[in-house]
Amino acid sequence: MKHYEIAEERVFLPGHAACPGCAMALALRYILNTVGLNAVGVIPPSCMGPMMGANPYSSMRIPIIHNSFESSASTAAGIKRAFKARGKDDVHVLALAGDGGTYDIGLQALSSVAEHNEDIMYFCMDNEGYMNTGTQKSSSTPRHAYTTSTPGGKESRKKNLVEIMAAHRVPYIATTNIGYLDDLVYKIKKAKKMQGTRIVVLLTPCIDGWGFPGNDVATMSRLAVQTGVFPLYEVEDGEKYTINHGSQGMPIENYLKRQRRYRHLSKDQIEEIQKEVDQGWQRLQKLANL
Amino acid sequence: MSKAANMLSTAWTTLRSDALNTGTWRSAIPTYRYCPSPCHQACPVNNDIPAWIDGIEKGELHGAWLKLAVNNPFPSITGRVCHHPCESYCNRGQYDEKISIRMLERYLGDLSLERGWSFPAVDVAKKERVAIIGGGPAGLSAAYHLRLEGYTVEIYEARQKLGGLLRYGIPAYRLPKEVLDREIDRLLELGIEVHTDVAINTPGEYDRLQKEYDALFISTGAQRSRKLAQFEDSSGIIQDGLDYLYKVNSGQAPGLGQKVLVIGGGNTAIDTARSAKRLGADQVMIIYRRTEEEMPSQKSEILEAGEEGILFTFLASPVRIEKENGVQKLVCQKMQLGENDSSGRPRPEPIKDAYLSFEADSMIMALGSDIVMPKIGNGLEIQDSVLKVDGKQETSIKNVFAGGDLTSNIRFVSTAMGAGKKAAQQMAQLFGGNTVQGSSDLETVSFEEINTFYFPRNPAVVSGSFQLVVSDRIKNFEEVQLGISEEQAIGEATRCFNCGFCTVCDNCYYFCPDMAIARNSGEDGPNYTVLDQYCKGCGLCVRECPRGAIVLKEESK
Ligand SMILES: Cc1cc2nc3c(=O)[nH]c(=O)nc-3n(C[C@H](O)[C@H](O)[C@H](O)COP(=O)(O)OP(=O)(O)OC[C@H]3O[C@@H](n4cnc5c(N)ncnc54)[C@H](O)[C@@H]3O)c2cc1C
Ligand SMILES: Cc1ncc(C[n+]2csc(CCOP(=O)(O)OP(=O)(O)O)c2C)c(N)n1
Ligand code: SF4
Ligand code: SF4
Ligand code: SF4
Ligand SMILES: [Mg+2]
Repeated sequence: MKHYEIAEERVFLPGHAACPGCAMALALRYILNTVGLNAVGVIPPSCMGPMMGANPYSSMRIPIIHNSFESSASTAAGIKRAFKARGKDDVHVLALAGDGGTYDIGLQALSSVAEHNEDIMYFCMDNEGYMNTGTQKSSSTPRHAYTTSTPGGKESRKKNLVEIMAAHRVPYIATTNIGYLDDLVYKIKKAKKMQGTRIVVLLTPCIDGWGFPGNDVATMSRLAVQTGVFPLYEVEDGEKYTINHGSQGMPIENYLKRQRRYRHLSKDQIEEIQKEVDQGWQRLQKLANL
Repeated sequence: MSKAANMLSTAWTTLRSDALNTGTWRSAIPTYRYCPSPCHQACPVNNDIPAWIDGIEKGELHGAWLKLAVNNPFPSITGRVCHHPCESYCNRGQYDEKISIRMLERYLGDLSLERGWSFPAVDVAKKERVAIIGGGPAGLSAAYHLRLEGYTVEIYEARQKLGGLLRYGIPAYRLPKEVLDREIDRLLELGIEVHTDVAINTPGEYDRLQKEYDALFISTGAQRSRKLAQFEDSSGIIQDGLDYLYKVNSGQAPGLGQKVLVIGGGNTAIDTARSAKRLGADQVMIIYRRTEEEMPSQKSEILEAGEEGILFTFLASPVRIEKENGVQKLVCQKMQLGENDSSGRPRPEPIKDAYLSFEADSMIMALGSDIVMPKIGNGLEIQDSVLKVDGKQETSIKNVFAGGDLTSNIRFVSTAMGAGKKAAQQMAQLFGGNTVQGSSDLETVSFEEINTFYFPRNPAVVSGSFQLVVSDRIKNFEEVQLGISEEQAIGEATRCFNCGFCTVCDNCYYFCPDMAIARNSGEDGPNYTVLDQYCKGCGLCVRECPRGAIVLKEESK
């Protein structure tokens, strides 16, 4: 049997206010507990807020700064520079932002930080929408998905953040999710050892926003990988692609039919999505064989 | 608080969220449970299969054997000859291939003999004494469980050695005598007195036993071979199957000539035919009145017999023997299958005026056997042609229990052992003890409760079994089926889902987003508790338990 053995430092605490069964909370547990106590976090508005808990309580045993929505990357970079200036180069500075705060409103700051190869770890908790404010669409929302701001289904495709950031030639980009805890922890450990701008994109299926049962987040995370919607891979120096877990040729329908946000799909739309996923998967495989 | 600190408090969080209570959110709570696996429930001796297979997987082989021995004193025997109903119910069968449970059982049994492991010593002495009449698998299993509980046990056996049909029925190419002897010797080391060559046949003898012992267990089997009336007086040409096997197994097999016909379709028929072949018969044919589909013997044995050159004629029923120019012939009537009979199998019906005939030097009747009613008291009843017992193996006479072939038409080694175990359990209860593990009527873990993500598809490491090549095996009584290596055993054990049995894999612990599962180090290894203060009742731990060892239970507050 597949067996996990994960060493954790207890940085993330219970008593937080994430929804029951939340994938983001579970991801956060392994991010914080792997990076450890010698760290500072930067958190913009997002579901990460309830995850931290209400003032004066915190679920995170490291200092956290709540920055403005658009500035996570640059805030983190500034903090890291300040530590460097004071000779505390060993402190890890993490930005923990949503997809809205990354794909959309924080993209400019992230691009600039990547251009300078600032020494931070940037985690994008990608739940494919503005979930904290009631499921509005972001540029990470996939085609045809229902959100409250795309009631007929979103017409445009999901932006490819990894390729955008790879074009910046940052030292490390990885995708992962909690369906593969060993993969997730491996990538955080690896990022932690490196320097420069390191970006980890985590698909965190949203129970309420996507519409599926609360005990299904790991299953949904795995289906995303097995159908090829969200392959788990790494890009080093913008050049070297490594696929860790990819499509197993499972039809996309297995993933879509379990989510309320896709309930309205027609056969043609499902086929269209299947085609897009297949193309994406082929493209990634090509990149990996470069 | 100082003024400065007070000013800071709006900007700085100062308290830990683990002081808060998110347990109030939930309406259901995960609960660790005991839930039997389907294989455990199907095993007639209720082997705790997922537990000892986990031991093999972890390389804790001695511990695994001890867990196996709790229910089964003879894994080297059942690991060879059991009809293994456990495997038919294996959940993994719905995924790729079932687990080769019997092979793993044999592996542990053989290992224990090789390494000379002993059963845990009996450390209590209880005053009650039990007599066991008949030392086959039923009687030996009862003796084992009673002795382990500290009772005095004495066995009365009519033959010169213990084992019943294990010794005088099943030939050595399926169950080597050395294996049988070593399993029985180890059992006797527990301190069991054996009276061999003592048949208990008269009311007077039973009377004495009833006076001397607190309880009796009668397990004399089904010893009387069925006969066909039309062949009553052809005794020179016709042999009885059980009798022939008895002689084969005692090293005094009579010659049968070149052409041998075996009538019947059960274990005795197949073993007789295969033995005759090994002892030099040129042409051996089994004649059965139904088809291969209905044969009561195990499929693997039919297959092996075929490989060894045994011929089969189906849908034929013997009518008479004819002698022509000094050549004997068996005339059979052709049959066809009709409606199902009470055994659930289609009834063979004669086809009018259609006959077949076969030359034969000798013929062996293997038509099954009936019980000989024990002569005890006068209240014993017969039901479906066996001795009637209740669900607890008790006869209509107080403190007289019975089991095995004597009380059942389902005739297998493990069912006989299961009956012995059940009787032991009931006697222990009667004597005020009762720690013998029984079966339960709980629902079993279903395949749907298994999280198959954790079990990559992987065909059985031990698919079927490994066998001696045919040309080697028909020359002698060497064992046909070979065992497996440690590596193969661990490989196969790794495939097991361990349905319902917590293997301490830590998954529930790792998958909780609320850190609400605590991992504790207990006396018998780690265990887990659900933290009431934090658990929000999401059920992710239940979903990510690979094997259904936790369930979500609704809470009413
Ligand atoms: C040829 C053959 C092959 C078989 N193969 C298989 C197989 O592969 N797998 C399987 O599961 N089952 C098999 N069976 C069935 C299985 O052997 C029996 O179901 C099982 O042995 C029954 O156990 P038992 O203890 O009830 O009876 P037995 O094994 O018949 O033991 C009864 C014992 O009682 C003794 N006894 C009888 N009368 C008296 C008396 N008056 N006083 C004292 N002692 C007495 C007998 O000598 C004997 O030792 C086979 C049966 C036969 C005949
Ligand atoms: C500049 C600005 N615009 C809007 C908001 C309101 N707001 C708070 S959280 C949020 C949604 C964030 O979405 P995302 O970054 O995807 O994180 P999620 O809630 O999905 O975790 C929004 C729109 C804000 N706080 N600041
Ligand atoms: S005794 Fe038979 S049914 Fe029980 S585990 Fe062994 S092979 Fe399976
Ligand atoms: S997978 Fe293992 S525990 Fe489950 S039924 Fe099969 S042998 Fe038994
Ligand atoms: S997840 Fe693993 S540790 Fe938890 S109950 Fe199931 S088997 Fe036991
Ligand atoms: Mg979002």
